[in-house]
Amino acid sequence: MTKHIMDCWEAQELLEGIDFGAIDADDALAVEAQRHHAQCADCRTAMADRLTWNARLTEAMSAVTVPADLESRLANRLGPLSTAATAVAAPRPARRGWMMAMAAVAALLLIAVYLQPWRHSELLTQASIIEHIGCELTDLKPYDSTRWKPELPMSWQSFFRLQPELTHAFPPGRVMSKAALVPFEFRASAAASPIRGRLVMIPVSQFQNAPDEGDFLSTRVDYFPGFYVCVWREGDSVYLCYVRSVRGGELDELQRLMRDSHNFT
Amino acid sequence: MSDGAPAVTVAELLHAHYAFVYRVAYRLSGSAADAEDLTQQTYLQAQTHLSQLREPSRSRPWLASIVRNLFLRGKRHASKVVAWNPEWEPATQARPPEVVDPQTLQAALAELPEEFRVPVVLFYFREFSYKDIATELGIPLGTVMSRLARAKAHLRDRLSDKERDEEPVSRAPRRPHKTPV
Repeated sequence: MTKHIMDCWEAQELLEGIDFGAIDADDALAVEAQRHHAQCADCRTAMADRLTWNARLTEAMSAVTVPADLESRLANRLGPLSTAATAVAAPRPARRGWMMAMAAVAALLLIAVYLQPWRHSELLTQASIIEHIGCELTDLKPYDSTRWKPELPMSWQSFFRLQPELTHAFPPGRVMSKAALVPFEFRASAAASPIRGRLVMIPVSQFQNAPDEGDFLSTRVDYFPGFYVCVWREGDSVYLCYVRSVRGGELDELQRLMRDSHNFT
Repeated sequence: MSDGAPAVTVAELLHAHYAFVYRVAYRLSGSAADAEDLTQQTYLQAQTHLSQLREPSRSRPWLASIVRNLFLRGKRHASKVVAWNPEWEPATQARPPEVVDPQTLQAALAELPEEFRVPVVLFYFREFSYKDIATELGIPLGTVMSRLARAKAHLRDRLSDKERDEEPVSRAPRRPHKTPV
């Protein structure tokens, strides 16, 4: 077995780590580094500069001017959700009495589809879907389910049925659609602001770099300026859920509402 | 509290750590607007996943992890790619200046690819051990140390007191030179 011989560079990196509390001083490598340091004049000289550097950089790293009203602005944006989050984190009553009237109402409309075959190489990507997903529903034709029958994600099926008249061919401007799009609107209660968005259902064979198997409730949400998106795969379908952001956090909120109301029918 | 509910609320986390979160976000993103966006998103995520915060004393690293995740997710969709300059050697021993200019620091950070910028920012905010960073980034400890060393060398090089560096200084040997002791 070859004995590990520590050089000055490695010793100094470890000693910096000890100084920062980033490595335990009694870690085996740290002990070796300290032994090296005690016996190496070069290291002792170099370490003085290194520690000065660290002090300067630590100080400079935090020297960022924080906008004076940032806390209040954040609190305003998070306010209603902050209360909700506390409720989620708290222990739940055995059967929550609040009858969250989650209504899945999909807006619906007519569309116009152009029929021009997809080339096999033109797989959909998250970016290409996002590029078109804000289109007018009137630019989309009804989805033709004779080629592939879209199904709602499991966690959505309790809340609404996939009505043919709500299912649009997507993206626009294609002869044969690769994906089906349904607009949706959820309300936690009659008085709550609606969460509106669009759900795209895609055969996995038509999607480039399909994500790992998952489900909507545990899929991470990505934020883009003005909207939220999450993408996941269930069986042979890839789903992309898109929600415009008005007050912030809508898609996270939708996940939470669905998660908390699994008994709701 | 025995019911498993966290001992802190999002409102408390906001009040105690919003400035820290914003600073980390700013150092990662380099933009005030992006930093504010990231800070807001961090707290939105924090309230969704508040139950995952087991130890309130670990609030800062927990929030920093969320910022880091959000930042890297955002970068995945961006097309800008910065190449690593192989001449940034880890053993550079430039002299420290009396004061580091925060703007120059930001410019130097912006030159680093994300895989180097993220660990060095986390390191200098002093909320993470090497092991934490390795776990956070899903890379081996040795890789963390190597990336940190290179990133720190780059910062030292860009921020060094060049005039003082003209004077002879004792320099540590470069990485390949082994000095058995």
